[in-house]
Amino acid sequence: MTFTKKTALHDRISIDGVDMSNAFDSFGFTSDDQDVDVSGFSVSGVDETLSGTRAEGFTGEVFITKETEALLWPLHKNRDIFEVAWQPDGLVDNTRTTYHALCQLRTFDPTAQRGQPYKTTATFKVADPNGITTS
Amino acid sequence: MTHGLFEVTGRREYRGHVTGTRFEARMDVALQRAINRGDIRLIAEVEPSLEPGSYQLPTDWPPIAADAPAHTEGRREAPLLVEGGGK
Repeated sequence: MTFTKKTALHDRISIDGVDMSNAFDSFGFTSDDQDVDVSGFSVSGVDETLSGTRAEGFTGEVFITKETEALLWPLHKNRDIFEVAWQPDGLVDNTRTTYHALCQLRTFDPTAQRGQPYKTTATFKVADPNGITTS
Repeated sequence: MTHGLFEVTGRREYRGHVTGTRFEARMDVALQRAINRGDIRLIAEVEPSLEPGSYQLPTDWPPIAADAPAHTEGRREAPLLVEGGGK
């Protein structure tokens, strides 16, 4: 059996309803459960763990332009909660799964480096008890 | 105002609607932010309603009495106490 391997070129990324696909050159999400150690004495001595709290969020590298500043800075400044959506390959295949969540942009730190494009890492923390959902 | 007709005025798609197209939506804070940014503009307020003749009940509705689902609860008017009883 083969897998439909593809190069990441056509991801659809939406921030607060606006198509921002062309502003990002990398994007993804993390969903990370905390390890809770519930180990007792045992013959094997192996750690026994359970899943604890779960932290979720989207992260991407975004080009800083007047358009992205106009969108992202007010969202951060006003601590707004807004929808973030990521659909891998979604610009050419709308049947692909979309991952979305209500998030906050907790950090906004654009920097300039001479001779390099204006870019920054945007980290969107999930701010809703439903977490990241799919459609 | 609860609902509105909006037009996408920004250069990028908004909620999947391309520039120049119109859509109806329930007003929320995200739409207000989009208006403030200039991504969309409000064309008109909309009062959601069903126009007469724009809908039709299913052909098997209302069901005839024989096909109606059986009541699973006691009749509301059923007496809880019987006069003279209980001895």
